[in-house]
Amino acid sequence: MSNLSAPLVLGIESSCDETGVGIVQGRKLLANEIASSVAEHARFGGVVPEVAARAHVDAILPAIERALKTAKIKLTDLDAIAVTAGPGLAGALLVGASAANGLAAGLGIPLYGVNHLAAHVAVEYLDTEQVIPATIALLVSGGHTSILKVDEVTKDINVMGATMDDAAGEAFDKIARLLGLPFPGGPELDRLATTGNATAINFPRAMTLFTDESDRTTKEFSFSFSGLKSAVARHIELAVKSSGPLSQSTRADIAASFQEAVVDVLLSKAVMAAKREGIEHLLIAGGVAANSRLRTLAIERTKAAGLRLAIPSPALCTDNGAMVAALGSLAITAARPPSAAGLAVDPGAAVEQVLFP
Amino acid sequence: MKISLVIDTSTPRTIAAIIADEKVIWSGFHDGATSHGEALGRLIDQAKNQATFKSINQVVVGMGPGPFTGLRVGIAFARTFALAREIPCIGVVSLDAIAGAASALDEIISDFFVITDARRKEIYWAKYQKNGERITEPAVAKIDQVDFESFPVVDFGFPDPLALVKLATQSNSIRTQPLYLRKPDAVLPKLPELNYRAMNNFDLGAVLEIEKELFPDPWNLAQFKEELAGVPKTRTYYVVEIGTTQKIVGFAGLYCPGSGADADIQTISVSVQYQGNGIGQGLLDLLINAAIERHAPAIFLEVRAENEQARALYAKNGFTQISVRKNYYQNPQPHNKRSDAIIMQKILGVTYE
Repeated sequence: MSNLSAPLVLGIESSCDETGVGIVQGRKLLANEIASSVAEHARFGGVVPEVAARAHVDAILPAIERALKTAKIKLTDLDAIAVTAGPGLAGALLVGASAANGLAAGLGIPLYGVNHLAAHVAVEYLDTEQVIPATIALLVSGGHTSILKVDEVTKDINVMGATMDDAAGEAFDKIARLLGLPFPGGPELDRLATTGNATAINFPRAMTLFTDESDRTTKEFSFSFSGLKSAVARHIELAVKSSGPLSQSTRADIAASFQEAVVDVLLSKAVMAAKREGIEHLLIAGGVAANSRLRTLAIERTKAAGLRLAIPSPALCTDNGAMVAALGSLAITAARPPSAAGLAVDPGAAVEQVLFP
Repeated sequence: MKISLVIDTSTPRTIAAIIADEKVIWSGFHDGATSHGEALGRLIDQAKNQATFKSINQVVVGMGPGPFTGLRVGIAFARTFALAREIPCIGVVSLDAIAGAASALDEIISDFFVITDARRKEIYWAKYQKNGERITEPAVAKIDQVDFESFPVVDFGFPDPLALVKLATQSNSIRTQPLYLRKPDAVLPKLPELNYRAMNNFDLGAVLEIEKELFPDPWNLAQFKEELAGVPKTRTYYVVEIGTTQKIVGFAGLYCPGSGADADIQTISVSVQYQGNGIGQGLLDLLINAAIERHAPAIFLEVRAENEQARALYAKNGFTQISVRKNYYQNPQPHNKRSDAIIMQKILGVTYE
């Protein structure tokens, strides 16, 4: 390896519908190219795994070539390849892993299979020389909703809580569909909610009240959005039944009230987790981190709680290859071993498995 | 010398080999329908021990047909390996490589079929001449729906690495895209209830958005207002909206002055998100009905030559091409090349005294 402290790493992300290729040098971001198959999924109202996997096969080579061009490097300059090995959609992960394998074998350089969730945390290391302290990470996307305690990003991550049913982003998409908004509904719902009254309807906040200490211990940092989803669906159904098609302002009120319920629970629990662990640093990442209300309220709540807040730019919050490259680069600098030939992807990988053997 | 890295993952067997011209230097395989990714990684690790591994100057990969997930493992690997080495990657029909080896068998004295397991009680199949030359396009079908014509059926083979390399010089077998042969298992969700109704001035905001979404040379507000001013005398305009939310997802307009004059379809537009759900057909039905009601002897339209989806819809509804208007449509910068308009006509087949 030419430079252990600032290795040149290409990262590939293909765990869902984005084909991401990023290049970093040490902690410096050189390229972050994303091709999304979201338009193809829109017709189906959600991500179709087989459609995603086919799109990855077509998108991955052009994405690699674009990233090299942006970074102004050649493939032969690279020190290592990193790839998301899980969690994610099995067929989609396999395409990225095979492509990464082909590159590493062709170039004769090491391959690092990394955890998708840990990679979301690793973006914070990009383009800063700061020492990143122990962190509470709130990961919210269409596939994940978890609170992580991160002591050392390449090896010591623990789940404090996660969703027991839908991911927050999934709930956004489903409610957006009920409100007649196109897929992916998150950004559309965010836009509609800006004109609505967030206190118009008091939708339930699941798992914020506990019956006893043992109930608290098991659910304190867990999430559930299926009850909220049903409550909103029922509300819409009753409203349509009693007064016909929903007016624009009623839809906006529903969107804002639903969004408030989600964001309130996410931040209450994340702030509580930080306090519990005596950690003063909160990172928010994942696609839902682009939600404007979440960003605003996060600033308010962390300020009130005396926490330092980090929210990466939207391009680095959503699934991307740069975060994968970043984690690969950190693994090399921490002298962690690369993955063996025959790297196996794991669709259900736990976040504790930061690097794959 | 051609030194080929050969990969095939179209069957439960993951295959890798290094072949110098037509001599097999090294080959390996692993059986297991769900572990192509790991198996290929391990096989390539073995291949690295060959002195020739560094001199590989082309990649040959089986493009299927084969089950989706495994098939892509080999193709994705082959493409990026070739990219890394700056060498060509040639895809060939995997079934042909089974046929290539089978044609050498003593039992094969006539035409024959090659089949492989497509799972879900289906097979991939193609028919071959005795010399291994393929006669039919590879296809997928239930086994009892293929007529084997009492020719022998090779159902035991795997793609032969040497045969794969030989195929890389035969244009009949070369493919650039994976042969999935099956569509993804995804069902379009049922649309909520749709309302078709007459367009009015209040709809124009939503209509303009769809217009801009679809066309490089959209009509502006003034043009739509002028069109609506012609309703009902010379124009008929409809919108289609989602029942529960009143969101407008498409619209259509007809020029039809009546009194024996022909009708002309001004526009049929469906927001991309909602295409493929029969909305275009629904709007077209309304326009045809309106033309019939106003006693138009024929209905005309012009459509962008590249808009194959729309042309197919019109053809299905009895419209035939009568002429082409060259360079009729504008296109956005920087292409700037204008598009031809296809003029189509449907005789309404009703004559009135």
